[in-house]
Amino acid sequence: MDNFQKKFIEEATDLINDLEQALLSLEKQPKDTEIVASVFRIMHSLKGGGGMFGFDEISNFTHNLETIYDEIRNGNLLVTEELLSITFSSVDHLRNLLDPEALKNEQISKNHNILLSKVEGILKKHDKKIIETQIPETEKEESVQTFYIYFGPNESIMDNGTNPLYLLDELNTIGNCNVYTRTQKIPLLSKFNFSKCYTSWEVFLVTKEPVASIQDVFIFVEDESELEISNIANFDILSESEILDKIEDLFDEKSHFDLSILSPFINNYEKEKKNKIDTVTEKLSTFTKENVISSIRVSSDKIDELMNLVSELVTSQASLSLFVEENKVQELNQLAENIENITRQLRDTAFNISLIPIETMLTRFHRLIRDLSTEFGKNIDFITEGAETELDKTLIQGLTDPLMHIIRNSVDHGIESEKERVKLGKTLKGMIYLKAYYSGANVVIKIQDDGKGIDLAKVRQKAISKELIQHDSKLTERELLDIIFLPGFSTAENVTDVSGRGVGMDVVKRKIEEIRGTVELDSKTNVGTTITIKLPLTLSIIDGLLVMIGNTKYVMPLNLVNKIYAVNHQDFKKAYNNIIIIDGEQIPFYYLRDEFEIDTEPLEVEQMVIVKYEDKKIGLAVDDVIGEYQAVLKPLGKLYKNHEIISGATILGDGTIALVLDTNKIIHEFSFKN
Amino acid sequence: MKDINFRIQAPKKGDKKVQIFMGGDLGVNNLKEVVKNLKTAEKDYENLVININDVTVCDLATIQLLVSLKNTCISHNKKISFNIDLSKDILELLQISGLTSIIKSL
Repeated sequence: MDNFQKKFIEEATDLINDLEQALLSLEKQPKDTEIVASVFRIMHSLKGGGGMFGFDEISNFTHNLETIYDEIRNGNLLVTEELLSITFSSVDHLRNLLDPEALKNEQISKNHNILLSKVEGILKKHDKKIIETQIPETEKEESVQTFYIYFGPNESIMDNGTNPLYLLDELNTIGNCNVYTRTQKIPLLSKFNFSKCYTSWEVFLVTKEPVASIQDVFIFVEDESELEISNIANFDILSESEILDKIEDLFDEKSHFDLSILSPFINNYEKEKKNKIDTVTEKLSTFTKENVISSIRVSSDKIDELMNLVSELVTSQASLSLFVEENKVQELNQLAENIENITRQLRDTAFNISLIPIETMLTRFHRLIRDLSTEFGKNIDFITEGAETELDKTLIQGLTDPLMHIIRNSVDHGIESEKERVKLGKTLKGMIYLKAYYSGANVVIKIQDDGKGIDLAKVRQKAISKELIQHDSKLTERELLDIIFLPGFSTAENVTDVSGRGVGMDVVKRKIEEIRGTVELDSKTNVGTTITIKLPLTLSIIDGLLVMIGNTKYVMPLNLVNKIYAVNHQDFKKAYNNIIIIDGEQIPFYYLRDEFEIDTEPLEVEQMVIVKYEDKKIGLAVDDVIGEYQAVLKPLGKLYKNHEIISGATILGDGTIALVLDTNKIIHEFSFKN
Repeated sequence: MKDINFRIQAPKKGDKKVQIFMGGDLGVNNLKEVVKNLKTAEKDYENLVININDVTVCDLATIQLLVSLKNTCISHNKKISFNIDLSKDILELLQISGLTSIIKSL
């Protein structure tokens, strides 16, 4: 495969993803012409690109679909459920076709032919209708014009049975009319003759017909009336509100429209409109040019490599700073500081490059919910908020499967059938709501449904039957909900293809913890379930606080550190119930020397690092605080796998290793232990 | 007169309003008598109420007559009001010939 083909596959993948997203929007707003146009454009690009780079199957397959959406775009065909369903299946199939060997697979090839015949079927049905209502080609090509018509019948026009109203009626059949009537010549009753015509008309007619067609309308009354027909614009003035306002302004009951005022106004309006369109087009083209220049496509491997190099640079820079400090080389001091600053900026920039909005994974969830809703005959709305929230791409990759499982659970077990919802007085349509937002150095993702919630009694029963808890265990609501995250636990009465596939919430929890996240579950019977996932912004580099406990250095995430106090060792020892009073405030603390079972002699004055934990302040007592440190996180080996309180390790400037502490886990674990 | 309904209901005691009812075929071919009667009514009464219902034909002549009647009353400082109820088809024809605004201004 040559480079151009690889490039096409990358671009086509993006296009297919965009197409899927556009179709989901179109399903909600089937009459939105912009979405239809967007679907058409994507198909057109796929067809063109496919043909150009040797993906003929994609090109041929998209051809008929493109024709269908062109017809919809032109208002000749409607978006139907059947068509959307075929198009969604085609989207999946197009993904398969990106593999040039795909059609050698029997199943894919069979599906290919089925889809082709379905698409052709839609086109054939439509072609038949077109033939039945075909308009001659010549008529289609004529452009719209606006005519001003003055029709002033003689008083005697009705004597031979002519009804002027029918002439106006006929005029209406050849275009869109705005009719102004003048009746000021109608006399008082004493002079009124019922058989005379005292009325005259002025008409603005927008039509594709030639002037001859208008003259034909009046052909039999030419000698009995005053007739004036002028072309005043080569566009539809009746759809331009400014011109209509001007016409209203010029309307005078006693005299005709003054074309010497109206025509120049229309001409100027047309020129200004053209200028505006030119300016917008120009701006748009500049914008597009700028856009092309300001964004480039880079492979994710290159970004990974960049991040690795930046990590190495951060470590080397720490060595340099340490060397300068230890050897007191004045000349190098400034240089080391500059390099430190630049490294920090480079780190942030590289870090930003690797962030991608969570929107990228939402389309597949939209699609998943759409497909599952159809399968289960449920009616579900998927609402998202904060789709622009960015996360490290590694986190997004790690998050997709757990989220997919959570959403499947919501559709399968959470949202009730329409019948059940009616019984419970709920809306027919169920809702799954996904919200993402930044919270400090974390990203929080909440998935909420308005389904039946989790039956805690059932959870308890199941936990007892699986011997996860004792028969007489007294558990709080929270503890019962936490059981759901235990391995192998499932409350589903029927195992379905969707959620009951042996992958339980324990796997979801493990997967999220693998990316240093936490997961929490809340549920209320018949109200719904909320799952809250908290993730760090990045996995690779953190700003940390380097501390010493015994002979070992540790790093705490700086964003969680609130304050640091120097505390006498004796005060820690005297503290009752692990609570110490600092600045008049009672602070619960953990004396990490004891917790880590370190036997060496403690210092006389130790340090208390106050960290944020949920909404509370908790103290973590350490021997000494060395200072801030940019920690490049390195994964720990298998031996440390079960040590949840340590989230990684980092190499210090002197080549030694510091362990990175997960302060939340420390507090959580020690609070249970104690 | 063919298929035309025209009736003048003289005012009751103490009431100055004359009720005039018109309906059926009010086309140009049937208007001769109507015009004559309206001229008389306009002369005889100070306050005219024109009720137009169940119209089968209404053309330019009808509309012109109503405009003329109104203008005459105004010029003679007499009161006139219209209660007009026309079918959808007739309203459509009046609409495309620009006469709806005339009806509304009556």
